[in-house]
Amino acid sequence: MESFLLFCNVVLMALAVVLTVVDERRKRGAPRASPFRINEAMVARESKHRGAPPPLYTRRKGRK
Amino acid sequence: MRDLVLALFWVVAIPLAFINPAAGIVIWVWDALLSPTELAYSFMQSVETNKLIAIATLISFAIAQNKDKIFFDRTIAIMVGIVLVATASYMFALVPSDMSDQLYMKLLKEMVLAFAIMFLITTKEWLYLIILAVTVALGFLGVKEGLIALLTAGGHHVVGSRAVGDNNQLAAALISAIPFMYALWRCTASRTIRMGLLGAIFLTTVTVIMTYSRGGFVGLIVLALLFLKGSRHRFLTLILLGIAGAALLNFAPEAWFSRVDTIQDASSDTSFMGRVIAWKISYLIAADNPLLGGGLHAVQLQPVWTHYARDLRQLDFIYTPPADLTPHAAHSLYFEVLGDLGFTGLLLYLGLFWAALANCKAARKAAIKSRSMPWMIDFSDAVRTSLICYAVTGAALSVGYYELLFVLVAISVCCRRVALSTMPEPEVVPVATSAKGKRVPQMARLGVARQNSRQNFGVGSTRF
Repeated sequence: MESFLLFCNVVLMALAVVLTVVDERRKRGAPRASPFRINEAMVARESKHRGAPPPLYTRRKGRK
Repeated sequence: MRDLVLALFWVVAIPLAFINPAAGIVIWVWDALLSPTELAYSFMQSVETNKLIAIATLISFAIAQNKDKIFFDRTIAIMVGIVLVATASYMFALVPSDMSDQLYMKLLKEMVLAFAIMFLITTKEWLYLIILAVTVALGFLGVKEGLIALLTAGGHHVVGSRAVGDNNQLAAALISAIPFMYALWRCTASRTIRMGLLGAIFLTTVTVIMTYSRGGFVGLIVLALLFLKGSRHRFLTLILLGIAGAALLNFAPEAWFSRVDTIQDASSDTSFMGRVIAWKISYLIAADNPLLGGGLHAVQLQPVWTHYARDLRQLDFIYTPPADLTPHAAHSLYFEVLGDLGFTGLLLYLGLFWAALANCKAARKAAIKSRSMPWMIDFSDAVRTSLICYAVTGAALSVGYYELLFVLVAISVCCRRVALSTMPEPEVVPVATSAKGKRVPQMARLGVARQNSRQNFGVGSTRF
Protein backbone atom coordinates (compact mmCIF):
# COMPACT_ATOMS: atom_id res chain seq x y z
CA MET A 1 0.00 0.00 0.00
CA GLU A 2 2.84 2.38 0.83
CA SER A 3 4.38 1.78 -2.59
CA PHE A 4 1.09 2.49 -4.32
CA LEU A 5 0.53 5.69 -2.34
CA LEU A 6 4.10 6.82 -3.02
CA PHE A 7 3.64 6.13 -6.72
CA CYS A 8 0.40 8.20 -6.77
CA ASN A 9 2.14 10.95 -4.82
CA VAL A 10 5.07 11.13 -7.22
CA VAL A 11 2.86 11.03 -10.33
CA LEU A 12 0.54 13.68 -8.90
CA MET A 13 3.39 16.08 -8.15
CA ALA A 14 5.01 15.49 -11.52
CA LEU A 15 1.76 16.07 -13.39
CA ALA A 16 0.88 19.15 -11.37
CA VAL A 17 4.23 20.81 -12.00
CA VAL A 18 4.58 19.82 -15.66
CA LEU A 19 1.04 20.87 -16.60
CA THR A 20 1.39 24.19 -14.78
CA VAL A 21 4.63 24.91 -16.64
CA VAL A 22 2.88 24.02 -19.93
CA ASP A 23 -0.09 26.26 -19.07
CA GLU A 24 2.24 29.12 -18.25
CA ARG A 25 3.79 28.94 -21.68
CA ARG A 26 0.44 28.94 -23.44
CA LYS A 27 -1.06 32.15 -24.68
CA ARG A 28 -3.51 34.10 -22.53
CA GLY A 29 -7.06 32.94 -23.07
CA ALA A 30 -6.05 29.47 -24.30
CA PRO A 31 -7.78 26.58 -22.49
CA ARG A 32 -5.84 25.37 -19.47
CA ALA A 33 -4.48 21.83 -19.53
CA SER A 34 -3.94 21.45 -15.82
CA PRO A 35 -6.73 20.30 -13.48
CA PHE A 36 -4.50 21.59 -10.67
CA ARG A 37 -5.77 25.14 -10.77
CA ILE A 38 -8.28 27.38 -9.12
CA ASN A 39 -11.84 27.21 -10.39
CA GLU A 40 -12.51 30.93 -10.05
CA ALA A 41 -16.10 30.73 -11.22
CA MET A 42 -16.95 28.09 -8.63
CA VAL A 43 -15.23 29.96 -5.80
CA ALA A 44 -16.85 33.24 -6.80
CA ARG A 45 -20.33 31.61 -6.82
CA GLU A 46 -19.88 30.41 -3.26
CA SER A 47 -18.26 33.56 -1.93
CA LYS A 48 -20.07 36.60 -0.68
CA HIS A 49 -17.06 38.71 -1.65
CA ARG A 50 -17.51 38.65 -5.39
CA GLY A 51 -18.56 40.82 -8.29
CA ALA A 52 -17.76 44.44 -9.04
CA PRO A 53 -17.07 46.67 -6.05
CA PRO A 54 -20.06 48.82 -4.96
CA PRO A 55 -20.22 52.33 -6.44
CA LEU A 56 -18.92 55.26 -4.44
CA TYR A 57 -22.41 56.68 -3.90
CA THR A 58 -25.83 55.63 -5.12
CA ARG A 59 -27.94 57.75 -7.34
CA ARG A 60 -31.34 58.68 -6.00
CA LYS A 61 -34.34 57.49 -7.96
CA GLY A 62 -35.62 59.93 -10.56
CA ARG A 63 -32.35 61.81 -10.87
CA LYS A 64 -30.48 61.73 -14.16
CA MET B 1 10.54 -0.54 -8.34
CA ARG B 2 10.25 2.42 -5.94
CA ASP B 3 13.77 3.46 -6.74
CA LEU B 4 13.08 3.37 -10.47
CA VAL B 5 9.96 5.50 -10.09
CA LEU B 6 11.82 8.02 -7.94
CA ALA B 7 14.77 8.08 -10.34
CA LEU B 8 12.43 8.73 -13.26
CA PHE B 9 10.77 11.53 -11.34
CA TRP B 10 14.09 13.26 -10.65
CA VAL B 11 15.19 12.84 -14.26
CA VAL B 12 12.16 14.98 -15.18
CA ALA B 13 12.16 17.28 -12.14
CA ILE B 14 15.71 18.61 -12.23
CA PRO B 15 15.63 19.83 -15.85
CA LEU B 16 12.20 21.31 -15.10
CA ALA B 17 13.78 23.30 -12.25
CA PHE B 18 16.27 24.74 -14.73
CA ILE B 19 13.45 25.68 -17.12
CA ASN B 20 11.27 27.31 -14.47
CA PRO B 21 12.62 28.18 -11.00
CA ALA B 22 9.07 28.31 -9.54
CA ALA B 23 8.66 24.65 -10.55
CA GLY B 24 11.96 23.94 -8.83
CA ILE B 25 10.89 25.53 -5.56
CA VAL B 26 7.59 23.62 -5.55
CA ILE B 27 9.47 20.30 -5.98
CA TRP B 28 12.06 21.40 -3.39
CA VAL B 29 9.33 22.03 -0.78
CA TRP B 30 7.69 18.69 -1.54
CA ASP B 31 11.01 16.87 -1.21
CA ALA B 32 11.96 18.71 1.99
CA LEU B 33 8.70 17.82 3.75
CA LEU B 34 8.31 14.24 2.49
CA SER B 35 11.93 13.04 1.94
CA PRO B 36 10.86 10.42 -0.59
CA THR B 37 14.39 9.02 -0.89
CA GLU B 38 14.09 7.76 2.68
CA LEU B 39 11.27 5.55 1.43
CA ALA B 40 13.50 4.06 -1.27
CA TYR B 41 15.01 0.59 -0.95
CA SER B 42 18.32 0.70 -2.81
CA PHE B 43 20.31 3.14 -4.96
CA MET B 44 18.06 6.17 -4.51
CA GLN B 45 18.68 6.23 -0.75
CA SER B 46 22.18 7.61 -1.24
CA VAL B 47 21.18 10.30 -3.76
CA GLU B 48 20.98 13.75 -2.15
CA THR B 49 17.96 14.90 -4.11
CA ASN B 50 17.26 17.85 -1.86
CA LYS B 51 20.69 19.28 -2.56
CA LEU B 52 20.32 18.69 -6.31
CA ILE B 53 16.92 20.36 -6.60
CA ALA B 54 18.08 23.26 -4.42
CA ILE B 55 21.13 23.90 -6.59
CA ALA B 56 19.10 23.62 -9.80
CA THR B 57 16.46 26.03 -8.50
CA LEU B 58 18.94 28.61 -7.25
CA ILE B 59 20.97 28.53 -10.48
CA SER B 60 17.77 28.86 -12.50
CA PHE B 61 16.69 31.83 -10.38
CA ALA B 62 20.09 33.47 -10.70
CA ILE B 63 20.10 33.27 -14.51
CA ALA B 64 16.37 33.96 -15.06
CA GLN B 65 15.87 37.02 -17.22
CA ASN B 66 12.34 37.90 -16.18
CA LYS B 67 12.69 37.42 -12.45
CA ASP B 68 10.72 39.71 -10.19
CA LYS B 69 12.61 42.18 -8.08
CA ILE B 70 14.01 40.85 -4.82
CA PHE B 71 12.08 42.71 -2.13
CA PHE B 72 12.58 43.34 1.54
CA ASP B 73 9.79 43.53 4.10
CA ARG B 74 9.32 43.07 7.84
CA THR B 75 9.03 39.28 7.62
CA ILE B 76 12.33 38.97 5.79
CA ALA B 77 13.91 41.40 8.27
CA ILE B 78 12.79 39.21 11.20
CA MET B 79 14.05 36.04 9.49
CA VAL B 80 17.42 37.67 8.82
CA GLY B 81 17.46 38.65 12.50
CA ILE B 82 16.83 35.04 13.51
CA VAL B 83 19.71 33.87 11.28
CA LEU B 84 22.06 36.46 12.81
CA VAL B 85 21.09 35.58 16.37
CA ALA B 86 21.34 31.85 15.63
CA THR B 87 24.79 32.39 14.11
CA ALA B 88 26.00 34.38 17.09
CA SER B 89 24.48 31.85 19.48
CA TYR B 90 26.15 29.00 17.60
CA MET B 91 29.54 30.75 17.61
CA PHE B 92 29.40 31.64 21.32
CA ALA B 93 27.64 28.46 22.49
CA LEU B 94 28.24 27.34 26.08
CA VAL B 95 29.31 23.89 24.89
CA PRO B 96 30.06 23.22 21.21
CA SER B 97 28.74 19.91 19.91
CA ASP B 98 28.12 17.96 16.71
CA MET B 99 24.38 18.19 17.35
CA SER B 100 24.47 21.99 17.29
CA ASP B 101 26.63 21.93 14.12
CA GLN B 102 24.01 19.84 12.33
CA LEU B 103 21.12 21.91 13.66
CA TYR B 104 22.77 25.17 12.57
CA MET B 105 23.30 23.88 9.02
CA LYS B 106 19.69 22.62 8.96
CA LEU B 107 18.42 26.02 10.07
CA LEU B 108 20.44 27.81 7.38
CA LYS B 109 19.10 25.48 4.67
CA GLU B 110 15.53 26.01 5.86
CA MET B 111 16.00 29.77 5.76
CA VAL B 112 17.34 29.59 2.19
CA LEU B 113 14.30 27.51 1.26
CA ALA B 114 11.96 30.07 2.86
CA PHE B 115 13.64 33.01 1.11
CA ALA B 116 13.50 31.16 -2.22
CA ILE B 117 9.75 30.58 -1.77
CA MET B 118 9.18 34.28 -1.06
CA PHE B 119 11.10 35.44 -4.13
CA LEU B 120 9.92 32.80 -6.61
CA ILE B 121 6.19 32.37 -5.92
CA THR B 122 4.67 35.47 -7.49
CA THR B 123 1.50 34.29 -9.27
CA LYS B 124 -1.69 32.61 -8.13
CA GLU B 125 -0.92 29.45 -10.16
CA TRP B 126 2.35 28.85 -8.35
CA LEU B 127 0.83 29.85 -5.02
CA TYR B 128 -1.74 27.12 -5.59
CA LEU B 129 1.05 24.66 -6.49
CA ILE B 130 3.14 25.40 -3.40
CA ILE B 131 0.11 24.86 -1.17
CA LEU B 132 -0.57 21.64 -3.11
CA ALA B 133 3.04 20.53 -2.56
CA VAL B 134 2.73 20.98 1.23
CA THR B 135 -0.61 19.17 1.19
CA VAL B 136 0.60 16.26 -0.95
CA ALA B 137 3.84 15.80 1.03
CA LEU B 138 2.22 15.77 4.45
CA GLY B 139 -0.99 14.20 3.15
CA PHE B 140 0.96 11.10 2.08
CA LEU B 141 1.74 10.35 5.72
CA GLY B 142 -1.76 11.27 6.85
CA VAL B 143 -3.48 9.09 4.25
CA LYS B 144 -1.13 6.13 4.65
CA GLU B 145 -1.28 5.97 8.44
CA GLY B 146 -5.00 6.71 8.45
CA LEU B 147 -5.73 3.82 6.09
CA ILE B 148 -3.65 1.44 8.21
CA ALA B 149 -5.46 2.65 11.35
CA LEU B 150 -8.86 1.99 9.77
CA LEU B 151 -7.83 -1.39 8.33
CA THR B 152 -6.58 -2.50 11.77
CA ALA B 153 -9.75 -1.14 13.45
CA GLY B 154 -7.77 1.29 15.61
CA GLY B 155 -5.01 -1.17 16.50
CA HIS B 156 -2.31 0.84 14.74
CA HIS B 157 -0.25 3.28 16.81
CA VAL B 158 1.35 5.92 14.60
CA VAL B 159 4.98 6.42 15.63
CA GLY B 160 6.05 9.16 13.22
CA SER B 161 8.49 9.17 10.34
CA ARG B 162 12.15 9.98 9.77
CA ALA B 163 11.24 13.01 7.68
CA VAL B 164 8.95 14.65 10.24
CA GLY B 165 9.98 13.26 13.62
CA ASP B 166 8.18 11.40 16.38
CA ASN B 167 4.43 10.96 16.78
CA ASN B 168 3.95 14.36 18.45
CA GLN B 169 5.75 16.24 15.70
CA LEU B 170 3.85 14.31 13.06
CA ALA B 171 0.57 15.28 14.76
CA ALA B 172 1.58 18.97 14.74
CA ALA B 173 2.55 18.80 11.05
CA LEU B 174 -0.66 17.04 10.00
CA ILE B 175 -2.86 19.45 11.95
CA SER B 176 -1.15 22.29 10.06
CA ALA B 177 -1.80 20.51 6.73
CA ILE B 178 -5.56 20.00 7.24
CA PRO B 179 -6.48 23.70 6.64
CA PHE B 180 -4.54 23.56 3.35
CA MET B 181 -6.48 20.47 2.28
CA TYR B 182 -9.72 22.27 3.05
CA ALA B 183 -8.69 25.42 1.13
CA LEU B 184 -7.70 23.32 -1.91
CA TRP B 185 -10.98 21.41 -1.67
CA ARG B 186 -12.85 24.70 -1.91
CA CYS B 187 -10.84 26.04 -4.85
CA THR B 188 -9.77 23.19 -7.11
CA ALA B 189 -11.24 22.85 -10.55
CA SER B 190 -11.16 19.06 -10.80
CA ARG B 191 -13.92 17.12 -9.04
CA THR B 192 -11.72 13.99 -8.70
CA ILE B 193 -9.04 15.95 -6.88
CA ARG B 194 -11.65 17.53 -4.64
CA MET B 195 -13.02 14.12 -3.65
CA GLY B 196 -9.47 12.94 -2.96
CA LEU B 197 -8.86 15.96 -0.74
CA LEU B 198 -12.03 15.28 1.22
CA GLY B 199 -10.88 11.72 1.83
CA ALA B 200 -7.42 13.00 2.80
CA ILE B 201 -8.96 15.35 5.41
CA PHE B 202 -10.82 12.44 6.99
CA LEU B 203 -7.85 10.05 6.98
CA THR B 204 -5.42 12.71 8.24
CA THR B 205 -7.73 13.46 11.16
CA VAL B 206 -7.81 9.73 11.97
CA THR B 207 -3.99 9.68 11.84
CA VAL B 208 -3.71 12.62 14.24
CA ILE B 209 -5.91 10.75 16.72
CA MET B 210 -3.91 7.56 16.26
CA THR B 211 -0.63 9.32 17.12
CA TYR B 212 -1.91 9.22 20.72
CA SER B 213 -0.46 12.71 21.07
CA ARG B 214 -2.00 14.89 23.75
CA GLY B 215 -0.66 18.00 22.02
CA GLY B 216 -2.25 16.72 18.82
CA PHE B 217 -5.60 16.32 20.58
CA VAL B 218 -5.45 19.91 21.87
CA GLY B 219 -4.47 21.03 18.35
CA LEU B 220 -7.50 19.25 16.87
CA ILE B 221 -9.81 21.05 19.30
CA VAL B 222 -8.23 24.40 18.38
CA LEU B 223 -8.59 23.53 14.68
CA ALA B 224 -12.27 22.65 15.15
CA LEU B 225 -12.92 25.94 17.00
CA LEU B 226 -11.17 27.99 14.31
CA PHE B 227 -13.08 26.14 11.62
CA LEU B 228 -16.35 26.88 13.40
CA LYS B 229 -15.45 30.55 13.84
CA GLY B 230 -14.58 31.00 10.15
CA SER B 231 -17.50 29.03 8.76
CA ARG B 232 -20.37 30.76 6.99
CA HIS B 233 -22.81 28.00 7.99
CA ARG B 234 -22.08 27.73 11.69
CA PHE B 235 -25.09 25.65 12.62
CA LEU B 236 -24.33 23.04 9.97
CA THR B 237 -20.64 23.06 10.95
CA LEU B 238 -21.60 22.56 14.60
CA ILE B 239 -23.71 19.56 13.65
CA LEU B 240 -20.86 18.08 11.58
CA LEU B 241 -18.37 18.58 14.42
CA GLY B 242 -20.86 17.01 16.82
CA ILE B 243 -21.13 13.95 14.57
CA ALA B 244 -17.32 13.75 14.37
CA GLY B 245 -17.06 14.00 18.16
CA ALA B 246 -19.68 11.29 18.63
CA ALA B 247 -17.84 9.03 16.17
CA LEU B 248 -14.61 9.62 18.11
CA LEU B 249 -16.26 8.75 21.43
CA ASN B 250 -17.73 5.55 20.00
CA PHE B 251 -14.88 4.25 17.88
CA ALA B 252 -11.62 5.45 19.46
CA PRO B 253 -9.70 2.72 21.30
CA GLU B 254 -9.70 2.59 25.11
CA ALA B 255 -5.95 3.25 25.27
CA TRP B 256 -6.51 6.60 23.54
CA PHE B 257 -8.95 7.75 26.23
CA SER B 258 -6.47 6.69 28.95
CA ARG B 259 -3.76 8.72 27.24
CA VAL B 260 -5.90 11.84 26.84
CA ASP B 261 -7.17 11.59 30.43
CA THR B 262 -3.62 12.10 31.69
CA ILE B 263 -3.95 15.78 30.66
CA GLN B 264 -6.09 16.30 33.78
CA ASP B 265 -3.50 14.64 36.09
CA ALA B 266 -0.50 16.50 34.72
CA SER B 267 1.16 16.93 38.10
CA SER B 268 1.35 13.18 38.63
CA ASP B 269 2.44 12.38 35.09
CA THR B 270 6.21 11.83 35.10
CA SER B 271 6.50 12.59 31.38
CA PHE B 272 4.88 15.99 31.84
CA MET B 273 6.93 16.83 34.97
CA GLY B 274 10.09 15.94 33.05
CA ARG B 275 9.08 18.56 30.48
CA VAL B 276 8.47 21.18 33.16
CA ILE B 277 12.00 20.52 34.48
CA ALA B 278 13.36 21.01 30.94
CA TRP B 279 11.40 24.27 30.68
CA LYS B 280 12.86 25.49 33.97
CA ILE B 281 16.40 24.66 32.88
CA SER B 282 15.81 26.40 29.53
CA TYR B 283 14.67 29.49 31.41
CA LEU B 284 17.73 29.39 33.67
CA ILE B 285 20.00 29.16 30.61
CA ALA B 286 18.27 32.19 29.10
CA ALA B 287 18.39 34.11 32.40
CA ASP B 288 22.15 33.56 32.51
CA ASN B 289 22.60 34.38 28.80
CA PRO B 290 19.70 36.68 27.94
CA LEU B 291 20.97 37.98 24.59
CA LEU B 292 22.16 34.85 22.82
CA GLY B 293 21.04 31.92 24.96
CA GLY B 294 23.12 28.82 25.52
CA GLY B 295 23.55 27.71 21.91
CA LEU B 296 21.51 25.43 19.70
CA HIS B 297 19.93 22.57 21.69
CA ALA B 298 21.93 23.62 24.74
CA VAL B 299 19.41 22.06 27.14
CA GLN B 300 20.09 18.62 25.64
CA LEU B 301 23.82 18.77 26.33
CA GLN B 302 24.97 16.92 29.47
CA PRO B 303 27.37 19.58 30.89
CA VAL B 304 24.75 22.35 30.47
CA TRP B 305 21.93 20.22 31.94
CA THR B 306 24.02 19.15 34.96
CA HIS B 307 25.17 22.73 35.63
CA TYR B 308 21.72 24.32 35.59
CA ALA B 309 19.92 21.39 37.25
CA ARG B 310 21.66 22.43 40.48
CA ASP B 311 19.91 25.83 40.32
CA LEU B 312 16.39 24.47 39.90
CA ARG B 313 15.44 25.58 43.43
CA GLN B 314 15.47 29.20 42.17
CA LEU B 315 12.17 28.35 40.47
CA ASP B 316 10.59 26.43 43.35
CA PHE B 317 7.35 28.42 43.06
CA ILE B 318 6.45 25.79 40.44
CA TYR B 319 6.85 22.42 42.08
CA THR B 320 8.83 19.77 40.21
CA PRO B 321 10.61 16.67 41.47
CA PRO B 322 14.43 16.78 41.46
CA ALA B 323 15.95 16.74 37.97
CA ASP B 324 17.34 13.43 36.80
CA LEU B 325 20.79 13.11 35.32
CA THR B 326 19.70 12.51 31.70
CA PRO B 327 19.14 15.66 29.65
CA HIS B 328 15.76 16.06 27.98
CA ALA B 329 14.60 18.05 24.98
CA ALA B 330 12.74 21.26 25.83
CA HIS B 331 9.42 19.88 24.46
CA SER B 332 8.19 23.37 23.76
CA LEU B 333 8.83 25.57 20.76
CA TYR B 334 9.01 28.65 23.01
CA PHE B 335 11.25 27.24 25.75
CA GLU B 336 13.43 25.57 23.12
CA VAL B 337 14.07 28.91 21.42
CA LEU B 338 14.39 30.68 24.78
CA GLY B 339 17.11 28.34 25.98
CA ASP B 340 18.90 28.18 22.63
CA LEU B 341 18.71 31.78 21.42
CA GLY B 342 17.88 33.75 24.56
CA PHE B 343 15.17 36.37 25.01
CA THR B 344 16.28 38.00 21.75
CA GLY B 345 15.57 34.83 19.80
CA LEU B 346 12.23 34.29 21.52
CA LEU B 347 11.13 37.86 20.73
CA LEU B 348 12.13 37.36 17.10
CA TYR B 349 10.19 34.10 16.87
CA LEU B 350 7.09 35.71 18.36
CA GLY B 351 7.60 38.59 15.93
CA LEU B 352 7.76 36.09 13.08
CA PHE B 353 4.35 34.65 14.06
CA TRP B 354 2.94 38.16 14.35
CA ALA B 355 4.32 39.21 10.93
CA ALA B 356 3.00 36.07 9.23
CA LEU B 357 -0.48 36.56 10.73
CA ALA B 358 -0.39 40.21 9.66
CA ASN B 359 0.48 39.10 6.11
CA CYS B 360 -2.54 36.78 6.07
CA LYS B 361 -4.77 39.59 7.33
CA ALA B 362 -3.47 41.98 4.66
CA ALA B 363 -4.02 39.40 1.91
CA ARG B 364 -7.55 38.73 3.13
CA LYS B 365 -8.34 42.43 3.32
CA ALA B 366 -7.03 43.00 -0.22
CA ALA B 367 -9.10 40.07 -1.51
CA ILE B 368 -12.30 41.37 0.12
CA LYS B 369 -11.67 44.89 -1.16
CA SER B 370 -10.93 43.85 -4.73
CA ARG B 371 -13.78 41.28 -4.93
CA SER B 372 -11.95 39.62 -7.84
CA MET B 373 -10.06 36.91 -5.93
CA PRO B 374 -12.32 35.20 -3.39
CA TRP B 375 -9.93 32.19 -3.48
CA MET B 376 -7.32 34.35 -1.74
CA ILE B 377 -9.65 34.54 1.27
CA ASP B 378 -9.54 30.74 1.50
CA PHE B 379 -5.77 30.62 1.07
CA SER B 380 -5.02 33.33 3.62
CA ASP B 381 -7.45 31.78 6.11
CA ALA B 382 -5.77 28.39 5.62
CA VAL B 383 -2.30 29.80 6.26
CA ARG B 384 -3.54 31.72 9.29
CA THR B 385 -5.27 28.64 10.74
CA SER B 386 -2.17 26.49 10.12
CA LEU B 387 0.04 29.05 11.88
CA ILE B 388 -2.27 29.29 14.89
CA CYS B 389 -2.51 25.50 15.20
CA TYR B 390 1.28 25.23 14.85
CA ALA B 391 1.74 27.86 17.57
CA VAL B 392 -0.65 26.03 19.91
CA THR B 393 0.66 22.49 19.35
CA GLY B 394 4.23 23.80 19.36
CA ALA B 395 3.77 24.87 22.98
CA ALA B 396 4.32 21.23 23.95
CA LEU B 397 6.69 20.09 21.19
CA SER B 398 10.26 20.81 20.12
CA VAL B 399 9.37 22.09 16.67
CA GLY B 400 11.21 25.40 16.72
CA TYR B 401 13.48 24.43 13.83
CA TYR B 402 11.11 22.33 11.73
CA GLU B 403 10.99 23.58 8.12
CA LEU B 404 7.18 23.62 8.00
CA LEU B 405 7.15 26.72 10.23
CA PHE B 406 9.34 28.70 7.82
CA VAL B 407 7.44 27.37 4.81
CA LEU B 408 4.16 28.60 6.35
CA VAL B 409 5.67 32.02 7.04
CA ALA B 410 7.02 32.22 3.48
CA ILE B 411 3.62 31.25 2.02
CA SER B 412 1.99 34.03 4.08
CA VAL B 413 4.38 36.52 2.44
CA CYS B 414 3.52 35.10 -1.00
CA CYS B 415 -0.22 35.41 -0.26
CA ARG B 416 0.18 39.07 0.63
CA ARG B 417 2.38 39.72 -2.39
CA VAL B 418 0.06 37.98 -4.86
CA ALA B 419 -3.01 39.66 -3.36
CA LEU B 420 -1.53 43.15 -3.57
CA SER B 421 -0.23 42.62 -7.11
CA THR B 422 -3.56 41.12 -8.30
CA MET B 423 -5.66 43.98 -6.90
CA PRO B 424 -7.04 46.08 -9.75
CA GLU B 425 -6.00 49.72 -9.95
CA PRO B 426 -8.54 51.97 -8.18
CA GLU B 427 -10.85 53.71 -10.63
CA VAL B 428 -10.08 57.40 -10.92
CA VAL B 429 -13.29 59.36 -10.37
CA PRO B 430 -13.23 62.65 -12.29
CA VAL B 431 -13.49 65.56 -9.89
CA ALA B 432 -15.81 68.43 -10.74
CA THR B 433 -14.09 71.80 -10.96
CA SER B 434 -15.53 75.30 -10.97
CA ALA B 435 -14.88 77.93 -13.64
CA LYS B 436 -11.86 79.13 -11.67
CA GLY B 437 -10.39 75.65 -11.76
CA LYS B 438 -11.03 74.95 -8.07
CA ARG B 439 -12.31 71.58 -6.97
CA VAL B 440 -16.01 71.59 -6.11
CA PRO B 441 -16.76 69.70 -2.87
CA GLN B 442 -19.18 66.79 -3.14
CA MET B 443 -21.99 68.46 -1.12
CA ALA B 444 -21.76 71.51 -3.34
CA ARG B 445 -22.08 69.26 -6.35
CA LEU B 446 -25.22 67.72 -4.90
CA GLY B 447 -26.56 71.20 -4.19
CA VAL B 448 -26.03 72.16 -7.79
CA ALA B 449 -27.85 69.02 -8.88
CA ARG B 450 -30.75 69.78 -6.51
CA GLN B 451 -31.04 73.29 -7.99
CA ASN B 452 -31.14 71.82 -11.45
CA SER B 453 -33.93 69.43 -10.48
CA ARG B 454 -35.93 72.36 -9.04
CA GLN B 455 -35.59 74.09 -12.34
CA ASN B 456 -36.75 70.91 -14.05
CA PHE B 457 -39.84 70.46 -11.89
CA GLY B 458 -40.37 74.13 -10.98
CA VAL B 459 -40.60 75.00 -7.31
CA GLY B 460 -44.11 76.13 -6.52
CA SER B 461 -45.31 74.92 -9.89
CA THR B 462 -48.64 73.25 -10.38
CA ARG B 463 -46.86 69.90 -10.75
CA PHE B 464 -47.26 69.39 -7.02
